[in-house]
Amino acid sequence: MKKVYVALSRLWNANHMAMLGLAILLMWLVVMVFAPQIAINDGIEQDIANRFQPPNAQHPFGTDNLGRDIYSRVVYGSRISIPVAFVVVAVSLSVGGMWGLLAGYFSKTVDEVLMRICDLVLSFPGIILALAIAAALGPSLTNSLIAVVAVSWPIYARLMRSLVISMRSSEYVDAVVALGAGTPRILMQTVIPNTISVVLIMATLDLGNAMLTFAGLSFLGLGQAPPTPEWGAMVSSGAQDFTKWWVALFPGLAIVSFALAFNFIGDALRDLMDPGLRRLL
Amino acid sequence: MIKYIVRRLLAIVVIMFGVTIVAFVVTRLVPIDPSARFLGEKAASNPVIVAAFKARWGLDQPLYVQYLVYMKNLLHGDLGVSLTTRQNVLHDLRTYFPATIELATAAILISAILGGLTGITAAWWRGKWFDSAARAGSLLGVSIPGFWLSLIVLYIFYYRLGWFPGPGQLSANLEPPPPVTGFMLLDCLIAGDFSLFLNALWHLVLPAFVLASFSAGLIARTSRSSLLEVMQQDYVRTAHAKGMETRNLLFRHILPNGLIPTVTLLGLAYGTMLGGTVFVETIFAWPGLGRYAYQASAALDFPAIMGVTLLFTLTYALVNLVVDLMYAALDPRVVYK
Repeated sequence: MKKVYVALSRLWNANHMAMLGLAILLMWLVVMVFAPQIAINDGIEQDIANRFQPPNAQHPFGTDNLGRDIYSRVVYGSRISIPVAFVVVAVSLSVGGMWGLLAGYFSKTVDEVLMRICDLVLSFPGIILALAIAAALGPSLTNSLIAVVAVSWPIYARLMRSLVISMRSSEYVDAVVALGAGTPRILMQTVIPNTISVVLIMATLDLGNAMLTFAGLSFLGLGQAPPTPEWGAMVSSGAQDFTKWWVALFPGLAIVSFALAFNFIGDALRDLMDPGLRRLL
Repeated sequence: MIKYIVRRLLAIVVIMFGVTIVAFVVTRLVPIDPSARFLGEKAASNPVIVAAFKARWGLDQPLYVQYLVYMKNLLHGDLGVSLTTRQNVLHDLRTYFPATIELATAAILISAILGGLTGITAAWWRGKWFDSAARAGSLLGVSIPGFWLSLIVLYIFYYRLGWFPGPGQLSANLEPPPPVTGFMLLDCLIAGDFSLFLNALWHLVLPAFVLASFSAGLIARTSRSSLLEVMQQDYVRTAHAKGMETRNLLFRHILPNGLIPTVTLLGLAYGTMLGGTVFVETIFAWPGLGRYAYQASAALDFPAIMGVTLLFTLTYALVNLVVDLMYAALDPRVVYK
């Protein structure tokens, strides 16, 4: 507990923005959990007579093309958009992490083959490959998740591989090998625990990106099927007529605030991790 | 050096080969019968036409043969026919590519200049208000999705303030210049019509700035931290101690060394931009490959998707090669063999 407190206070001193990021994140978690209490209605209820209402007392964020309350849709949208970002990162981390672990630990041939596949995926501009995959699989929430994971795992593979390679020559791994531990045991009990913190920091940095990429696919109509609210798709309905500014503005602000929160936190973490830069702060 | 370039180009050929495999597999993920989609109902009910279509694309063969047929056609410059435009895909790519290159190049220039200047100023006045503002600004830059920013700037600067024109490459009442190169700005100059050139340039401003926002943030952050690192070096302290003028110190010692790492970022930034064009071009009605890619994917137009993917990946690879060569030219310590 004291350790957590010390870390938090250091974070605050190092960077007020990081605390702001944490606060935004906390706010979204509260919104996500208590969505039914916070929202005005379920966000799906249509009221065609009151379509395209600018923000007013009844509808603080206005209404969209079907007269749905945008405020409620933003609130309920958090239940799709935020978990999606976490799922994408968790799956990418697991797939990429295992990939890099195997590449770094095993022979040169295995390493070579696995990393060339990695390079191949990285040689595509990310969103283009994701777009092709999502389009080929057909528009749905799961398929767009798969598409985002398909382009975001290689960075974890690369990171994990470099960590494992630098560890492999360390004395404590030599010691475990000398004690006669088998490969699975070495990997699970020695290698993974010693690399996971760095990988998790990377994952934190990546959460904002994951949301942006997924929202992009949704914006293009490849994500969650209507009428369930999702932030990227909501911005897309505002794109049909940008003079109705409120339709796109509020869901977009939600995306920005979430991505910004993680970039604030990630930026501070990076400074704390890098001793060269820490000196300068 | 030449050996290095040749080797890199060969590597690109190998990568593109891998890319065709990945793209081919992706576009065959769904068991849609392309003949039904492509030929239309009437022709698809005629078995002779269907058989001819399938034979041309090898669709009656096992998958690996289909791939070989695709590759054979590809090497002959035949990328198939787009389902949406009903044109040869290669023709489409040629038509739409210049607009994208124009937009992405404008954006990379903006982001390099804007991001670089911000990074330099922030590093120089480290800890002052500008540094904090620049930091917040650059984090904001990498957190804002382009598709949203496009809508917001269109609303503010076009609809509300009227400072900039709306979507499109030229105002609707103007006659486009005769297409010589396909690049709008160049064609305007070739046609000798300066007012047309200014109109096209004016249309370029908003989409280019939106596209640049992400990379500008990235470049500002990276250049700041690498400049700070250089400013801590002994040779900078020595130069300072022996009484070198601040201007000399900055332009001769700090900037040349501190900005080199930023150059390597430009390749990555260009890749992000090519992807970003999908959104920016769609919203700004920009007749480029990004919008083409979006329309193709919305219509499940696989020959077109495949074509765009190949061209974007090739561009990305070539840009990265150029960036690496620039890196070597700027940093004499880097020698490629």
